[in-house]
Amino acid sequence: MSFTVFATAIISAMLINNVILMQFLGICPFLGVSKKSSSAIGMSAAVLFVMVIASAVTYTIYDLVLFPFDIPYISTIAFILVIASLVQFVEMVIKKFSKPLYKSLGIYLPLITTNCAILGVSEGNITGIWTETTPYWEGLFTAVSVSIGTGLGFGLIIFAFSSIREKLDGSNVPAAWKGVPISLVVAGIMSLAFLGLAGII
Amino acid sequence: MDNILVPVLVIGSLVFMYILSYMLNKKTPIPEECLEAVDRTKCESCHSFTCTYKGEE
Amino acid sequence: MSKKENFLKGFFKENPIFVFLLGMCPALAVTATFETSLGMGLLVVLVLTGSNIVVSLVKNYIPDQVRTPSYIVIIATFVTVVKMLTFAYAIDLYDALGVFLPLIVVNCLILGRAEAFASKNNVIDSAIDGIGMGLGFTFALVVIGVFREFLATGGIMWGVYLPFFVDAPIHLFTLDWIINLFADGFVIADYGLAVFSLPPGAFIALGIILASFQFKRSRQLKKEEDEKKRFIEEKKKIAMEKKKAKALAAAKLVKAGE
Repeated sequence: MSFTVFATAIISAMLINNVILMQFLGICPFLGVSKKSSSAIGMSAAVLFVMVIASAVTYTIYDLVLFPFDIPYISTIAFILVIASLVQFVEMVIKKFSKPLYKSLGIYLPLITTNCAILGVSEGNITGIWTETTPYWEGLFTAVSVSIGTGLGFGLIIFAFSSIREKLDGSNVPAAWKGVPISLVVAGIMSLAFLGLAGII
Repeated sequence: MDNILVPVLVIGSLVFMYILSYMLNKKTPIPEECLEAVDRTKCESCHSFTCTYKGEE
Repeated sequence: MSKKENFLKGFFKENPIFVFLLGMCPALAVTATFETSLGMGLLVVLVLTGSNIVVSLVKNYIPDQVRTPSYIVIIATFVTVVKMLTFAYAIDLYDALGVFLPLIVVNCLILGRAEAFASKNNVIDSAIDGIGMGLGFTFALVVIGVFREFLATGGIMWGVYLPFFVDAPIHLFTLDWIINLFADGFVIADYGLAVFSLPPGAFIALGIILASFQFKRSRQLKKEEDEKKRFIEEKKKIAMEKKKAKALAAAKLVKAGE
Protein backbone atom coordinates (compact mmCIF):
# COMPACT_ATOMS: atom_id res chain seq x y z
CA MET A 1 0.00 0.00 0.00
CA SER A 2 2.08 2.85 -1.24
CA PHE A 3 1.98 5.93 -3.38
CA THR A 4 3.80 4.14 -6.20
CA VAL A 5 1.05 1.56 -6.51
CA PHE A 6 -1.54 4.30 -6.49
CA ALA A 7 0.19 6.46 -9.10
CA THR A 8 0.95 3.53 -11.39
CA ALA A 9 -2.60 2.29 -11.21
CA ILE A 10 -4.01 5.76 -11.92
CA ILE A 11 -1.76 6.47 -14.91
CA SER A 12 -2.12 3.06 -16.45
CA ALA A 13 -5.90 2.95 -16.01
CA MET A 14 -6.48 6.54 -17.06
CA LEU A 15 -4.13 6.97 -20.00
CA ILE A 16 -2.70 3.68 -21.22
CA ASN A 17 -5.64 1.34 -20.81
CA ASN A 18 -8.29 3.99 -21.22
CA VAL A 19 -11.75 2.50 -20.61
CA ILE A 20 -13.38 3.97 -23.67
CA LEU A 21 -10.64 4.11 -26.25
CA MET A 22 -8.77 0.91 -25.42
CA GLN A 23 -11.21 -1.32 -23.58
CA PHE A 24 -14.45 -0.24 -25.30
CA LEU A 25 -16.41 0.00 -22.07
CA GLY A 26 -19.10 2.64 -21.77
CA ILE A 27 -19.47 3.38 -25.48
CA CYS A 28 -23.18 4.11 -25.03
CA PRO A 29 -22.79 7.23 -22.87
CA PHE A 30 -19.76 8.17 -24.94
CA LEU A 31 -21.88 8.43 -28.08
CA GLY A 32 -25.14 9.44 -26.42
CA VAL A 33 -24.56 11.79 -23.51
CA SER A 34 -21.51 13.65 -24.66
CA LYS A 35 -23.33 16.28 -26.66
CA LYS A 36 -23.08 18.99 -24.02
CA SER A 37 -20.06 19.62 -21.85
CA SER A 38 -22.20 20.16 -18.75
CA SER A 39 -23.96 16.83 -19.01
CA ALA A 40 -20.66 15.15 -19.83
CA ILE A 41 -19.22 16.39 -16.55
CA GLY A 42 -22.29 15.33 -14.55
CA MET A 43 -22.29 11.91 -16.13
CA SER A 44 -18.61 11.27 -15.56
CA ALA A 45 -18.81 12.45 -11.96
CA ALA A 46 -21.66 10.02 -11.34
CA VAL A 47 -19.73 7.21 -13.01
CA LEU A 48 -16.58 7.93 -11.02
CA PHE A 49 -18.51 7.99 -7.76
CA VAL A 50 -20.40 4.76 -8.37
CA MET A 51 -17.38 3.03 -9.89
CA VAL A 52 -15.21 3.55 -6.82
CA ILE A 53 -17.87 2.36 -4.39
CA ALA A 54 -18.89 -0.53 -6.61
CA SER A 55 -15.40 -1.87 -7.11
CA ALA A 56 -14.68 -1.68 -3.39
CA VAL A 57 -17.90 -3.49 -2.53
CA THR A 58 -17.60 -6.15 -5.23
CA TYR A 59 -13.96 -6.84 -4.36
CA THR A 60 -14.91 -7.21 -0.72
CA ILE A 61 -17.78 -9.54 -1.51
CA TYR A 62 -15.64 -11.69 -3.77
CA ASP A 63 -12.76 -11.91 -1.32
CA LEU A 64 -14.71 -12.37 1.88
CA VAL A 65 -17.86 -14.20 0.77
CA LEU A 66 -17.77 -15.79 -2.66
CA PHE A 67 -14.28 -17.28 -2.53
CA PRO A 68 -14.25 -18.62 1.05
CA PHE A 69 -17.62 -20.32 0.50
CA ASP A 70 -16.33 -21.75 -2.78
CA ILE A 71 -19.01 -20.18 -4.97
CA PRO A 72 -17.07 -17.85 -7.31
CA TYR A 73 -19.23 -18.99 -10.23
CA ILE A 74 -22.14 -16.81 -9.12
CA SER A 75 -19.97 -13.70 -9.32
CA THR A 76 -21.76 -12.27 -12.38
CA ILE A 77 -25.20 -12.43 -10.75
CA ALA A 78 -23.86 -11.18 -7.44
CA PHE A 79 -22.00 -8.26 -9.02
CA ILE A 80 -24.85 -7.01 -11.16
CA LEU A 81 -27.18 -7.20 -8.16
CA VAL A 82 -24.73 -5.37 -5.93
CA ILE A 83 -24.18 -2.64 -8.52
CA ALA A 84 -27.89 -2.26 -9.23
CA SER A 85 -28.85 -1.99 -5.57
CA LEU A 86 -25.94 0.34 -4.91
CA VAL A 87 -27.10 2.66 -7.67
CA GLN A 88 -30.65 2.65 -6.34
CA PHE A 89 -29.46 3.28 -2.81
CA VAL A 90 -27.14 6.13 -3.76
CA GLU A 91 -29.87 7.70 -5.87
CA MET A 92 -32.32 7.53 -2.99
CA VAL A 93 -29.87 9.09 -0.54
CA ILE A 94 -28.98 11.93 -2.89
CA LYS A 95 -32.62 12.52 -3.74
CA LYS A 96 -33.49 12.79 -0.09
CA PHE A 97 -30.67 14.93 1.22
CA SER A 98 -29.31 17.20 -1.47
CA LYS A 99 -31.39 18.72 -4.23
CA PRO A 100 -28.58 20.55 -6.05
CA LEU A 101 -26.44 17.42 -6.05
CA TYR A 102 -29.34 15.46 -7.42
CA LYS A 103 -29.89 17.96 -10.17
CA SER A 104 -26.28 17.94 -11.33
CA LEU A 105 -25.32 14.30 -10.72
CA GLY A 106 -28.24 12.21 -9.53
CA ILE A 107 -30.23 12.37 -12.73
CA TYR A 108 -27.53 10.33 -14.46
CA LEU A 109 -27.62 7.56 -11.87
CA PRO A 110 -30.49 5.51 -13.38
CA LEU A 111 -28.47 5.18 -16.56
CA ILE A 112 -25.51 3.70 -14.75
CA THR A 113 -26.92 0.28 -13.88
CA THR A 114 -26.67 -0.78 -17.49
CA ASN A 115 -23.34 0.96 -18.03
CA CYS A 116 -20.80 -1.68 -18.97
CA ALA A 117 -17.92 0.32 -17.54
CA ILE A 118 -18.93 -0.30 -13.92
CA LEU A 119 -19.46 -4.04 -14.22
CA GLY A 120 -16.45 -4.28 -16.51
CA VAL A 121 -14.15 -2.70 -13.93
CA SER A 122 -15.53 -4.92 -11.16
CA GLU A 123 -14.97 -8.06 -13.22
CA GLY A 124 -11.58 -6.80 -14.37
CA ASN A 125 -10.50 -6.31 -10.76
CA ILE A 126 -11.19 -9.95 -10.06
CA THR A 127 -9.39 -11.29 -13.12
CA GLY A 128 -6.55 -8.77 -13.00
CA ILE A 129 -5.80 -7.97 -9.37
CA TRP A 130 -7.32 -10.63 -7.19
CA THR A 131 -5.24 -13.69 -6.39
CA GLU A 132 -5.63 -16.26 -3.68
CA THR A 133 -2.62 -15.02 -1.79
CA THR A 134 -3.05 -11.24 -2.02
CA PRO A 135 -3.86 -9.78 1.39
CA TYR A 136 -7.33 -8.26 1.50
CA TRP A 137 -6.31 -4.65 2.19
CA GLU A 138 -3.60 -4.58 -0.43
CA GLY A 139 -5.90 -5.91 -3.10
CA LEU A 140 -8.67 -3.56 -2.09
CA PHE A 141 -6.29 -0.60 -2.27
CA THR A 142 -5.16 -1.54 -5.77
CA ALA A 143 -8.72 -2.16 -6.91
CA VAL A 144 -9.87 1.22 -5.63
CA SER A 145 -6.89 2.98 -7.23
CA VAL A 146 -7.59 1.32 -10.56
CA SER A 147 -11.25 2.28 -10.37
CA ILE A 148 -10.38 5.91 -9.59
CA GLY A 149 -8.05 5.95 -12.58
CA THR A 150 -10.66 4.36 -14.79
CA GLY A 151 -13.30 6.85 -13.72
CA LEU A 152 -10.96 9.75 -14.36
CA GLY A 153 -10.07 8.36 -17.77
CA PHE A 154 -13.77 8.02 -18.58
CA GLY A 155 -14.36 11.63 -17.57
CA LEU A 156 -11.35 12.87 -19.54
CA ILE A 157 -12.45 11.24 -22.77
CA ILE A 158 -16.13 12.10 -22.41
CA PHE A 159 -15.29 15.74 -21.72
CA ALA A 160 -12.73 15.99 -24.52
CA PHE A 161 -15.13 14.36 -26.90
CA SER A 162 -18.02 16.66 -25.96
CA SER A 163 -15.82 19.62 -26.83
CA ILE A 164 -14.89 18.08 -30.17
CA ARG A 165 -18.56 17.34 -30.76
CA GLU A 166 -19.47 20.99 -30.35
CA LYS A 167 -16.98 21.88 -33.08
CA LEU A 168 -18.13 18.98 -35.20
CA ASP A 169 -21.74 20.10 -35.15
CA GLY A 170 -20.80 23.35 -36.83
CA SER A 171 -18.70 21.82 -39.56
CA ASN A 172 -19.88 20.64 -42.93
CA VAL A 173 -19.89 16.84 -42.78
CA PRO A 174 -21.05 14.75 -45.77
CA ALA A 175 -24.56 13.43 -45.27
CA ALA A 176 -23.48 9.81 -45.11
CA TRP A 177 -21.01 10.47 -42.30
CA LYS A 178 -23.21 12.73 -40.20
CA GLY A 179 -23.82 11.72 -36.59
CA VAL A 180 -22.45 8.47 -35.27
CA PRO A 181 -20.09 7.44 -38.11
CA ILE A 182 -17.99 10.59 -37.96
CA SER A 183 -17.98 10.40 -34.15
CA LEU A 184 -16.61 6.87 -34.38
CA VAL A 185 -13.88 7.92 -36.77
CA VAL A 186 -12.94 10.80 -34.48
CA ALA A 187 -12.84 8.33 -31.59
CA GLY A 188 -10.61 6.10 -33.71
CA ILE A 189 -8.15 8.93 -34.25
CA MET A 190 -8.19 9.74 -30.53
CA SER A 191 -7.57 6.09 -29.83
CA LEU A 192 -4.66 6.11 -32.26
CA ALA A 193 -3.19 9.01 -30.30
CA PHE A 194 -3.63 7.16 -27.00
CA LEU A 195 -1.99 4.08 -28.49
CA GLY A 196 1.20 6.14 -28.54
CA LEU A 197 1.11 6.41 -24.75
CA ALA A 198 1.68 2.69 -24.33
CA GLY A 199 5.00 2.11 -22.68
CA ILE A 200 5.35 5.30 -20.68
CA ILE A 201 5.44 3.24 -17.51
CA MET B 1 -27.05 -30.20 0.17
CA ASP B 2 -24.81 -27.75 1.94
CA ASN B 3 -23.15 -26.55 -1.24
CA ILE B 4 -26.47 -25.64 -2.82
CA LEU B 5 -27.77 -23.81 0.22
CA VAL B 6 -25.00 -21.20 0.38
CA PRO B 7 -25.28 -19.76 -3.17
CA VAL B 8 -29.05 -19.72 -2.93
CA LEU B 9 -28.82 -17.86 0.35
CA VAL B 10 -26.30 -15.36 -0.99
CA ILE B 11 -28.27 -14.66 -4.15
CA GLY B 12 -31.50 -14.51 -2.18
CA SER B 13 -30.13 -11.95 0.22
CA LEU B 14 -28.72 -9.87 -2.64
CA VAL B 15 -32.04 -9.95 -4.47
CA PHE B 16 -33.79 -8.94 -1.29
CA MET B 17 -31.37 -6.06 -0.86
CA TYR B 18 -31.92 -4.93 -4.43
CA ILE B 19 -35.69 -5.06 -4.19
CA LEU B 20 -35.57 -3.22 -0.87
CA SER B 21 -33.42 -0.40 -2.22
CA TYR B 22 -35.47 -0.30 -5.41
CA MET B 23 -38.69 0.11 -3.41
CA LEU B 24 -37.15 2.72 -1.13
CA ASN B 25 -35.91 4.63 -4.15
CA LYS B 26 -39.33 4.44 -5.83
CA LYS B 27 -40.99 5.77 -2.71
CA THR B 28 -38.74 8.81 -2.48
CA PRO B 29 -40.27 11.44 -4.74
CA ILE B 30 -38.17 13.20 -7.34
CA PRO B 31 -37.75 16.92 -6.57
CA GLU B 32 -40.18 18.75 -8.78
CA GLU B 33 -37.80 21.04 -10.58
CA CYS B 34 -35.76 18.04 -11.72
CA LEU B 35 -38.58 16.14 -13.40
CA GLU B 36 -37.88 17.47 -16.84
CA ALA B 37 -34.13 17.04 -16.50
CA VAL B 38 -34.64 13.39 -15.54
CA ASP B 39 -36.75 12.73 -18.61
CA ARG B 40 -34.29 14.50 -20.85
CA THR B 41 -31.29 12.53 -19.65
CA LYS B 42 -33.18 9.29 -20.08
CA CYS B 43 -33.49 10.05 -23.77
CA GLU B 44 -29.89 11.09 -24.20
CA SER B 45 -28.57 7.70 -23.28
CA CYS B 46 -28.30 4.70 -25.53
CA HIS B 47 -31.62 5.13 -27.34
CA SER B 48 -33.30 4.30 -24.11
CA PHE B 49 -36.53 2.39 -24.16
CA THR B 50 -37.80 4.27 -21.12
CA CYS B 51 -37.72 7.61 -22.88
CA THR B 52 -40.77 9.76 -22.11
CA TYR B 53 -39.41 13.19 -22.95
CA LYS B 54 -41.43 14.84 -25.70
CA GLY B 55 -39.66 18.18 -25.84
CA GLU B 56 -37.99 19.84 -28.78
CA GLU B 57 -34.67 18.69 -30.27
CA MET C 1 -47.06 -8.93 -37.77
CA SER C 2 -46.58 -12.40 -39.17
CA LYS C 3 -44.11 -14.84 -37.67
CA LYS C 4 -41.78 -14.56 -40.63
CA GLU C 5 -41.72 -10.77 -40.45
CA ASN C 6 -41.12 -11.01 -36.73
CA PHE C 7 -38.12 -13.23 -37.36
CA LEU C 8 -36.64 -11.24 -40.21
CA LYS C 9 -37.00 -7.74 -38.78
CA GLY C 10 -33.77 -8.08 -36.78
CA PHE C 11 -31.57 -8.41 -39.85
CA PHE C 12 -32.08 -5.14 -41.68
CA LYS C 13 -35.14 -3.14 -40.68
CA GLU C 14 -34.51 -3.19 -36.93
CA ASN C 15 -30.92 -4.35 -36.82
CA PRO C 16 -29.71 -3.78 -33.24
CA ILE C 17 -26.27 -2.46 -34.18
CA PHE C 18 -26.65 -0.82 -37.58
CA VAL C 19 -30.01 0.84 -36.95
CA PHE C 20 -30.50 1.16 -33.18
CA LEU C 21 -26.84 1.33 -32.11
CA LEU C 22 -27.51 -1.02 -29.21
CA GLY C 23 -24.73 -3.13 -27.77
CA MET C 24 -21.90 -1.10 -29.21
CA CYS C 25 -19.39 -2.24 -26.58
CA PRO C 26 -19.15 -5.85 -27.83
CA ALA C 27 -19.51 -4.67 -31.42
CA LEU C 28 -16.22 -2.85 -31.03
CA ALA C 29 -14.40 -5.06 -28.57
CA VAL C 30 -14.78 -8.64 -29.76
CA THR C 31 -14.84 -8.13 -33.52
CA ALA C 32 -11.11 -8.33 -34.16
CA THR C 33 -11.60 -11.68 -35.88
CA PHE C 34 -14.46 -13.44 -37.62
CA GLU C 35 -14.54 -16.27 -35.11
CA THR C 36 -14.77 -14.23 -31.92
CA SER C 37 -17.59 -12.16 -33.40
CA LEU C 38 -19.48 -15.27 -34.48
CA GLY C 39 -18.97 -16.85 -31.05
CA MET C 40 -20.12 -13.72 -29.22
CA GLY C 41 -23.16 -13.41 -31.47
CA LEU C 42 -24.23 -17.00 -30.90
CA LEU C 43 -23.86 -16.61 -27.13
CA VAL C 44 -26.06 -13.52 -27.29
CA VAL C 45 -28.64 -15.51 -29.30
CA LEU C 46 -28.71 -18.12 -26.53
CA VAL C 47 -29.07 -15.58 -23.74
CA LEU C 48 -31.62 -13.45 -25.58
CA THR C 49 -33.82 -16.40 -26.54
CA GLY C 50 -33.68 -17.88 -23.06
CA SER C 51 -34.42 -14.65 -21.28
CA ASN C 52 -37.21 -13.75 -23.72
CA ILE C 53 -38.90 -17.12 -23.17
CA VAL C 54 -38.65 -16.96 -19.39
CA VAL C 55 -39.75 -13.33 -19.20
CA SER C 56 -42.81 -13.97 -21.33
CA LEU C 57 -43.63 -17.05 -19.25
CA VAL C 58 -43.51 -15.25 -15.91
CA LYS C 59 -44.79 -11.85 -17.04
CA ASN C 60 -48.16 -12.29 -15.36
CA TYR C 61 -46.70 -13.26 -11.98
CA ILE C 62 -44.26 -10.40 -11.56
CA PRO C 63 -45.59 -7.33 -9.79
CA ASP C 64 -45.08 -4.18 -11.78
CA GLN C 65 -42.83 -2.53 -9.20
CA VAL C 66 -40.10 -5.17 -9.32
CA ARG C 67 -40.16 -5.80 -13.06
CA THR C 68 -36.69 -4.51 -13.95
CA PRO C 69 -34.95 -6.20 -10.99
CA SER C 70 -36.43 -9.56 -11.86
CA TYR C 71 -35.48 -9.18 -15.52
CA ILE C 72 -31.91 -8.45 -14.50
CA VAL C 73 -31.81 -11.57 -12.32
CA ILE C 74 -33.21 -13.73 -15.14
CA ILE C 75 -30.70 -12.38 -17.66
CA ALA C 76 -27.80 -12.75 -15.23
CA THR C 77 -28.75 -16.38 -14.63
CA PHE C 78 -28.69 -17.16 -18.33
CA VAL C 79 -25.38 -15.36 -18.74
CA THR C 80 -23.87 -17.49 -15.99
CA VAL C 81 -25.09 -20.66 -17.69
CA VAL C 82 -23.66 -19.53 -21.02
CA LYS C 83 -20.39 -18.57 -19.36
CA MET C 84 -20.01 -22.05 -17.90
CA LEU C 85 -20.88 -23.69 -21.24
CA THR C 86 -18.23 -21.63 -23.02
CA PHE C 87 -15.69 -22.44 -20.35
CA ALA C 88 -16.40 -26.13 -20.82
CA TYR C 89 -16.51 -26.40 -24.61
CA ALA C 90 -14.51 -23.49 -26.05
CA ILE C 91 -11.94 -22.34 -23.55
CA ASP C 92 -10.04 -20.31 -26.15
CA LEU C 93 -13.16 -18.34 -26.95
CA TYR C 94 -13.71 -17.84 -23.22
CA ASP C 95 -10.24 -16.35 -22.89
CA ALA C 96 -10.60 -14.22 -26.01
CA LEU C 97 -13.93 -12.72 -24.95
CA GLY C 98 -12.63 -12.13 -21.43
CA VAL C 99 -14.65 -9.58 -19.51
CA PHE C 100 -17.18 -9.17 -22.33
CA LEU C 101 -18.72 -12.54 -21.62
CA PRO C 102 -20.17 -11.54 -18.22
CA LEU C 103 -20.90 -8.12 -19.71
CA ILE C 104 -23.67 -9.63 -21.83
CA VAL C 105 -25.77 -8.94 -18.72
CA VAL C 106 -25.67 -5.20 -19.28
CA ASN C 107 -26.10 -5.34 -23.05
CA CYS C 108 -28.89 -2.82 -23.70
CA LEU C 109 -30.29 -5.10 -26.39
CA ILE C 110 -31.30 -7.91 -24.04
CA LEU C 111 -32.96 -5.82 -21.34
CA GLY C 112 -34.55 -3.72 -24.07
CA ARG C 113 -36.12 -6.75 -25.79
CA ALA C 114 -37.33 -8.06 -22.42
CA GLU C 115 -39.01 -4.76 -21.61
CA ALA C 116 -40.26 -3.85 -25.05
CA PHE C 117 -41.28 -7.20 -26.50
CA ALA C 118 -41.23 -10.24 -24.22
CA SER C 119 -43.21 -8.59 -21.43
CA LYS C 120 -46.09 -7.91 -23.82
CA ASN C 121 -46.19 -10.95 -26.11
CA ASN C 122 -46.72 -14.69 -25.81
CA VAL C 123 -44.02 -17.32 -25.51
CA ILE C 124 -43.71 -18.36 -29.16
CA ASP C 125 -43.56 -14.82 -30.51
CA SER C 126 -41.01 -13.89 -27.86
CA ALA C 127 -38.82 -16.86 -28.72
CA ILE C 128 -38.95 -16.00 -32.41
CA ASP C 129 -38.17 -12.39 -31.62
CA GLY C 130 -35.22 -13.46 -29.48
CA ILE C 131 -33.76 -15.72 -32.16
CA GLY C 132 -34.33 -13.18 -34.93
CA MET C 133 -32.92 -10.22 -33.02
CA GLY C 134 -30.00 -12.32 -31.79
CA LEU C 135 -29.19 -13.50 -35.29
CA GLY C 136 -29.43 -9.93 -36.53
CA PHE C 137 -26.92 -8.96 -33.86
CA THR C 138 -24.71 -11.89 -34.90
CA PHE C 139 -24.99 -10.84 -38.53
CA ALA C 140 -23.84 -7.33 -37.69
CA LEU C 141 -20.94 -8.59 -35.58
CA VAL C 142 -19.86 -11.00 -38.33
CA VAL C 143 -19.92 -8.24 -40.94
CA ILE C 144 -17.64 -6.11 -38.77
CA GLY C 145 -15.46 -9.08 -37.85
CA VAL C 146 -14.92 -10.21 -41.45
CA PHE C 147 -14.17 -6.64 -42.53
CA ARG C 148 -11.58 -6.17 -39.80
CA GLU C 149 -9.91 -9.57 -40.02
CA PHE C 150 -9.69 -9.40 -43.79
CA LEU C 151 -8.09 -5.97 -43.75
CA ALA C 152 -5.73 -6.90 -40.94
CA THR C 153 -4.49 -10.27 -42.19
CA GLY C 154 -5.73 -10.71 -45.75
CA GLY C 155 -7.69 -13.85 -44.96
CA ILE C 156 -10.32 -15.45 -42.72
CA MET C 157 -9.31 -18.14 -40.23
CA TRP C 158 -11.41 -20.90 -38.73
CA GLY C 159 -10.58 -23.17 -35.82
CA VAL C 160 -8.49 -20.92 -33.59
CA TYR C 161 -11.18 -20.00 -31.08
CA LEU C 162 -14.02 -22.27 -32.14
CA PRO C 163 -12.48 -25.74 -32.32
CA PHE C 164 -15.45 -27.37 -34.02
CA PHE C 165 -15.54 -29.36 -37.29
CA VAL C 166 -11.77 -29.14 -37.86
CA ASP C 167 -8.71 -30.59 -36.14
CA ALA C 168 -6.33 -27.72 -36.78
CA PRO C 169 -6.89 -24.04 -37.67
CA ILE C 170 -7.54 -23.57 -41.38
CA HIS C 171 -7.94 -20.63 -43.74
CA LEU C 172 -11.53 -20.25 -44.87
CA PHE C 173 -10.44 -17.67 -47.36
CA THR C 174 -7.17 -15.98 -48.19
CA LEU C 175 -5.68 -13.84 -50.91
CA ASP C 176 -2.33 -15.66 -50.84
CA TRP C 177 -2.99 -18.06 -53.68
CA ILE C 178 -4.10 -15.38 -56.12
CA ILE C 179 -0.92 -13.40 -55.63
CA ASN C 180 1.23 -16.54 -55.57
CA LEU C 181 0.16 -17.17 -59.16
CA PHE C 182 2.46 -14.32 -60.08
CA ALA C 183 5.10 -14.36 -57.36
CA ASP C 184 6.63 -17.00 -55.10
CA GLY C 185 6.73 -17.07 -51.33
CA PHE C 186 4.38 -14.16 -50.82
CA VAL C 187 2.68 -14.00 -47.42
CA ILE C 188 -0.10 -11.46 -47.42
CA ALA C 189 -0.30 -11.38 -43.63
CA ASP C 190 2.98 -9.43 -43.64
CA TYR C 191 1.32 -6.68 -45.62
CA GLY C 192 -1.95 -6.46 -43.68
CA LEU C 193 -3.22 -3.24 -42.15
CA ALA C 194 -2.49 -4.33 -38.59
CA VAL C 195 -4.21 -1.26 -37.18
CA PHE C 196 -7.56 -2.86 -37.94
CA SER C 197 -6.94 -5.54 -35.35
CA LEU C 198 -6.13 -2.87 -32.74
CA PRO C 199 -8.60 -0.61 -30.89
CA PRO C 200 -8.35 2.37 -33.30
CA GLY C 201 -9.19 0.09 -36.20
CA ALA C 202 -12.33 -1.04 -34.42
CA PHE C 203 -13.69 2.49 -34.22
CA ILE C 204 -12.73 3.33 -37.78
CA ALA C 205 -14.09 0.08 -39.23
CA LEU C 206 -17.43 0.47 -37.49
CA GLY C 207 -17.52 4.11 -38.59
CA ILE C 208 -16.99 3.12 -42.22
CA ILE C 209 -19.64 0.39 -42.09
CA LEU C 210 -22.20 2.65 -40.42
CA ALA C 211 -21.45 5.40 -42.94
CA SER C 212 -22.09 3.05 -45.85
CA PHE C 213 -25.41 2.04 -44.32
CA GLN C 214 -26.30 5.68 -43.81
CA PHE C 215 -25.29 6.43 -47.39
CA LYS C 216 -27.62 3.76 -48.68
CA ARG C 217 -30.43 4.96 -46.46
CA SER C 218 -29.98 8.59 -47.46
CA ARG C 219 -30.03 7.55 -51.13
CA GLN C 220 -33.25 5.66 -50.55
CA LEU C 221 -34.80 8.58 -48.70
CA LYS C 222 -33.83 10.94 -51.49
CA LYS C 223 -35.30 8.61 -54.07
CA GLU C 224 -38.54 8.35 -52.14
CA GLU C 225 -38.70 12.09 -51.73
CA ASP C 226 -38.09 12.63 -55.43
CA GLU C 227 -40.79 10.16 -56.27
CA LYS C 228 -43.18 11.91 -53.93
CA LYS C 229 -42.38 15.26 -55.48
CA ARG C 230 -42.91 13.91 -58.96
CA PHE C 231 -46.16 12.32 -57.88
CA ILE C 232 -47.40 15.59 -56.43
CA GLU C 233 -46.36 17.50 -59.52
CA GLU C 234 -48.13 15.04 -61.74
CA LYS C 235 -51.28 15.34 -59.67
CA LYS C 236 -51.02 19.09 -59.87
CA LYS C 237 -50.65 18.89 -63.62
CA ILE C 238 -53.66 16.64 -63.92
CA ALA C 239 -55.66 18.94 -61.71
CA MET C 240 -54.59 21.95 -63.77
CA GLU C 241 -55.58 20.21 -66.98
CA LYS C 242 -58.91 19.29 -65.51
CA LYS C 243 -59.44 22.86 -64.45
CA LYS C 244 -58.53 24.08 -67.89
CA ALA C 245 -60.86 21.61 -69.51
CA LYS C 246 -63.61 22.62 -67.17
CA ALA C 247 -63.04 26.29 -67.88
CA LEU C 248 -63.03 25.55 -71.60
CA ALA C 249 -66.23 23.60 -71.29
CA ALA C 250 -67.79 26.39 -69.28
CA ALA C 251 -66.70 28.92 -71.87
CA LYS C 252 -68.16 26.75 -74.60
CA LEU C 253 -71.37 26.45 -72.63
CA VAL C 254 -71.53 30.18 -72.21
CA LYS C 255 -70.90 30.62 -75.91
CA ALA C 256 -73.56 28.08 -76.77
CA GLY C 257 -75.95 29.87 -74.45
CA GLU C 258 -75.38 33.11 -76.21
